[in-house]
Amino acid sequence: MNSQRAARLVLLSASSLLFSQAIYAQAIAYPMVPKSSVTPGTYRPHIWFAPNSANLVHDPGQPACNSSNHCYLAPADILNGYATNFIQNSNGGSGITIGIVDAFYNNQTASDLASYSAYYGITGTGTLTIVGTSPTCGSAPSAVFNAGWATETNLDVQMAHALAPNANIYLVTATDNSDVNLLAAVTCAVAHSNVVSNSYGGGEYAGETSGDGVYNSGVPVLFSSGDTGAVTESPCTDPYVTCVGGTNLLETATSFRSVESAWSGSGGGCSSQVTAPAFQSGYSTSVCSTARGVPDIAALADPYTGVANYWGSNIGSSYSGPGMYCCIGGTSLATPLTAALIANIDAARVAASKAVLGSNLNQLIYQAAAGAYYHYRFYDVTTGSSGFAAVAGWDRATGLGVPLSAALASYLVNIVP
Amino acid sequence: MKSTRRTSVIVFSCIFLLAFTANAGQILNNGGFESGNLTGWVTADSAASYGSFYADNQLYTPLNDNATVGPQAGSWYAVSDAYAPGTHALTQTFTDPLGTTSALLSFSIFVNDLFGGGGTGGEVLLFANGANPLSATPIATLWGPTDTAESSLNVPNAWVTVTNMNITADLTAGTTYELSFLESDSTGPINVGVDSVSLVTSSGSSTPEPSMLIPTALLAAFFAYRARGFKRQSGGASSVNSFGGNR
Repeated sequence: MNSQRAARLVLLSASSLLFSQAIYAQAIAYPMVPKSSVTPGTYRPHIWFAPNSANLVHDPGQPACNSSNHCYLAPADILNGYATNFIQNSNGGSGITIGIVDAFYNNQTASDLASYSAYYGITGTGTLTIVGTSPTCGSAPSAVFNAGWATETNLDVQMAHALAPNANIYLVTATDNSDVNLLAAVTCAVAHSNVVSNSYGGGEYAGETSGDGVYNSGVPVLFSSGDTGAVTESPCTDPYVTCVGGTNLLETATSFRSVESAWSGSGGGCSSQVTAPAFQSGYSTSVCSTARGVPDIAALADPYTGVANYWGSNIGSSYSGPGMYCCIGGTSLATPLTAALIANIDAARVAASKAVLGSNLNQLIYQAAAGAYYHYRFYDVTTGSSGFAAVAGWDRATGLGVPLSAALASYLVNIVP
Repeated sequence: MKSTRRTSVIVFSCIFLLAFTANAGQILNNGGFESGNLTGWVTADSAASYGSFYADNQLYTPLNDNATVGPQAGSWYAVSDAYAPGTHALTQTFTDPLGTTSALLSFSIFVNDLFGGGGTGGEVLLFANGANPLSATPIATLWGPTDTAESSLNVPNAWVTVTNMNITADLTAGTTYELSFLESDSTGPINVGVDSVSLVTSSGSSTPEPSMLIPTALLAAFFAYRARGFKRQSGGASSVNSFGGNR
């Protein structure tokens, strides 16, 4: 294990030398699918893009990453920043299937993943299966391409594979981005996987918990909290959904967390539609009273400390052709990272002859944060703001904070039956 | 042959005398953890703390991957790490040599509180032999939890090195003790690093105490007599051979 960190850093250094991309003019992060372009009854992917290679620097070790100084983290940086040992020791999610739900279809998703893995030297054994839902779960994907959703899909798949390289990925592509068809895709995903990552959402509406039956069907379901700051989005507000917010993560030159603060875009707040589930009592209830508070947890999301993804010609032709693109973020990044963490924990549970985690993941997460254990199992984000300030304990920007992977896994693997 | 025996007797006598009259030197084992493990030390951990002290040669802790500054000297150091609240002790048992008039303790320590949870921090304690360092009352608190400042958020502390702390008054010559490095945390993870631990004892004087002179002199006389005996036996054997040779 100890030598593995060193090996990864060497790999990282070598691969960074290969990084030479086109220069982009824009210097501000923008959503790949603007909120204004999404009609009611449909969902928008939570991916943001901050292209600017003129001042592109490879975090770790940068004192600041902002609109003029873009940083990116390689998979090794994220592994190191978020507790390497545990990920390594859990065998990279071997034997576990991560379900990923997206809309539309990009026929280069698999080859883009292969290019991404080759670029970073990721040699996991996980496989990628891509299915559609029409007419039935497992059918061939729809043929409709959508550039914004294609970047989302690439982000989800590439990050899940980066942090759980031995986990299989079951990608379900909804026919379109309507809430009905995306829910059908989630239904398909939970039937074929052990944890489901969803990086999209939309405004809250009356009756938004109609998906409860799907989100409470025995498989942990994660959603991104949104990218427009202090706003709640559905389905993240569903009480059976683990809602993932976003952070800005700066690292030291040796890939340790130096500062992790709330990302300005991290969605969250108190739901206007959903009442607080019992497990949030004593956490969000002091802020949101009887309403469900989101997010539950948080992870890296700020595109200014984001990641690089591989975009093939389908996406890249709108930019500078096929290649690695930087810097990508959004709570769309935080969610597959967290799903990969759950896959690693599941693999460790299976190795300990225990069942994989189920729909009670939220209860377990809040139990893990109880009392004196909180600071062992969660990195309490207390700086930064999404419009809601990150403060000690649960807050509307980052929830309980960022899982301290090894210690939270120790609880979920060793203590939870 | 004769001269060899005589020399060895003299050397042996001198070593014997040195044991009482000169430096006893370093009396701890593996104080820098350069064996790459905790040989010479024992660990004790409170129940359900899911952690311990570990030998480490990296810039991060073995369980949680928490950043550290690495070893203070050499390649290895010891560091506590745990998944849950609790107390962890790293203990070495030693016997203060007879005749000790000076015992100087040196060590390097850091206390990291990277996630702001807080806790008691790190201590260096002296216990009676056989005491449970997790629960017993120490004979002396050599280094208290407030003596080493805890790190600030996210930033691992540098080593604090304590050199030649005089603990002579805490010890009785000929008695066995436990030297314990203790890490205790209750509201957030604390990583305590330990390195370059040394306990050097000496007589502190070139003149042996009067009470030691008599047995020392008696023993020296005994060995002098034995040496003469060896000589006589050797001479005897030699003369037999000579005699036979004369035949």
